[in-house]
Amino acid sequence: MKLSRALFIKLLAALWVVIWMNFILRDLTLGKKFSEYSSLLRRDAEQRRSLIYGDELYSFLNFSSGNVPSGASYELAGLDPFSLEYRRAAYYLYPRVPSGSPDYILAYHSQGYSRPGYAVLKEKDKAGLILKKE
Amino acid sequence: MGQFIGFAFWAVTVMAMGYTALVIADPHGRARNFEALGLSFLIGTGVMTIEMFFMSLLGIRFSPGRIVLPWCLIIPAVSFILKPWRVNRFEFRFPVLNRIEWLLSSGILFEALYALFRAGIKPFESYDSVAIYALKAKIFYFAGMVPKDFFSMLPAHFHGAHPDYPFYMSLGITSIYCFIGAFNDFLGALFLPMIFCAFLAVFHAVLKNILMSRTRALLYTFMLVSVQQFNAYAANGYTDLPLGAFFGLAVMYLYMAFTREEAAYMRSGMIFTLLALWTKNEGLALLLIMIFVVTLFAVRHRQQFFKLIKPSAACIPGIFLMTGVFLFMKVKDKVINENFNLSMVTAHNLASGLSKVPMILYEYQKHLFGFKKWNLIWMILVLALVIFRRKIRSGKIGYVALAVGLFFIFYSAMYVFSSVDSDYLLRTTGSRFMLHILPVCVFLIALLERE
Repeated sequence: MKLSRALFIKLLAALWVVIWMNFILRDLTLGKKFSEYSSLLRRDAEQRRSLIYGDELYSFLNFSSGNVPSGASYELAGLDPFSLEYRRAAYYLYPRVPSGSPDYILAYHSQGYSRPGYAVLKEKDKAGLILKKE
Repeated sequence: MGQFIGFAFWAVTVMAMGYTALVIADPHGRARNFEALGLSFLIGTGVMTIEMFFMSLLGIRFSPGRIVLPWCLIIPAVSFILKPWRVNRFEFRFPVLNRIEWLLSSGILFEALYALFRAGIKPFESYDSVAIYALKAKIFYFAGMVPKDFFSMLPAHFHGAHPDYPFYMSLGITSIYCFIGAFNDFLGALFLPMIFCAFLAVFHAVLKNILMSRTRALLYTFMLVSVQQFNAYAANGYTDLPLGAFFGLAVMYLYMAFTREEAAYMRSGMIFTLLALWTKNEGLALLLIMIFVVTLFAVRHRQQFFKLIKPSAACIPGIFLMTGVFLFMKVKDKVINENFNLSMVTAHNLASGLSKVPMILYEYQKHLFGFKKWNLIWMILVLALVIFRRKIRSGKIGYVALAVGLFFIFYSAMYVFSSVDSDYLLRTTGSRFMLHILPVCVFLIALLERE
């Protein structure tokens, strides 16, 4: 049986739509996008950021930005500098800037963290603490 | 509420700037209706960000008033000289669609709205957006300009933030913050999907104009928009989609210029080449591809070339000025791209890089059969090239096929010469680089299938 061009294009288009819908539905259901979106829709802007960044990291960043002045330099301990969390933190904390010789050390998930020349400024439960240059 | 009014003012300003530039590039109104609206937005974002870049060079801080001020003179001057009201660009009538066209339109509309929803519901969060583009936008907004020490400050504090990348995306987001008067990255995140929507409007209109069939134009627009990878990059804060969109439109308008011999299309092609250059470093490779294709056309069709290039010549200094200024700044501050730069193009790297060819081909093969990201698009492209191979050598389709071929040669060469671990480079860039050529490939499939 010879396959006509029109029929071939129709079959291809049908296959295309099946693949398209399959991956959209998979993403929404198995990929849990649907539950993420419905959860985001119920929250305000700050709560959405908290959900995206992770509640614990976001509350620590919020705590840090409240205690470290704009323009100050900091070092973020407890996070891999190449990780997505670190990048989000550096983005969120700007205009505070990461530095090799910082005014502040933000020690995330690092209870009891200490460094010579720095004193504990504030502590936030188990989330971490802020040290300030003496 | 105030921020939404500011956002609306931003959108209107972008459209007004873009429309003015469109009137200059296309005074006879070749682009109409949704194509004109989409072009106004795309060109407007480019014009506004380039203006902001030059404001920074002159030490002028960003503010809506300062951005709009020159246009209070330019718009009346252009209106007085070109009298755009004489050309009726807008004549909207609700089209009578058949069942297939309804389905295709619904699919396109769904994907466009879904991208806007995904971007607007959360702040910037993907890796490159927070590490590069949105970070730079925040820096520019708080500094009120591109800081004078930007090229040295950024790498000193933010490793991997790529100071060498062009500023289109970052300044585009900064412009939103400026107009709303606050840092709000939920609204800033809408910049990319708005580019996506404007691009879809233009892509569909140009296809409809070339293919002379609304059904086919909708079919190919749906084909493009429903590629998962393309849609995913419409809302994640990366610049690969705008680059692919601008390069796609540059090739499409160039094809129209070659076939219809209208200088307005040539100018549009040049404008989008410039925007590609202003979006990502890879835009430089795409500029070289365009120069190669146009040179070949000039050699083969000398008379037509001069007919096209004479009224478009004013765009050429613009392209070289932008390229020159940006390259000069990077050279001055010794900013280089660590993944690929011209110092890597050596005989030694070529000799050692040839062993990477099987790995590069394997990467392409992964995409060819990567249904999850690409649906059937690459297989359809290969099929179309095989079935309609004779058409490539006849007519002007060959120039589009040449652009695609050169793209793969240039990008593969980049992998060959790069000193960075090729496994890492291919893994992190392969699927994004394919986006740069995707719209051109869908266009090529449409052209091949048409006849």
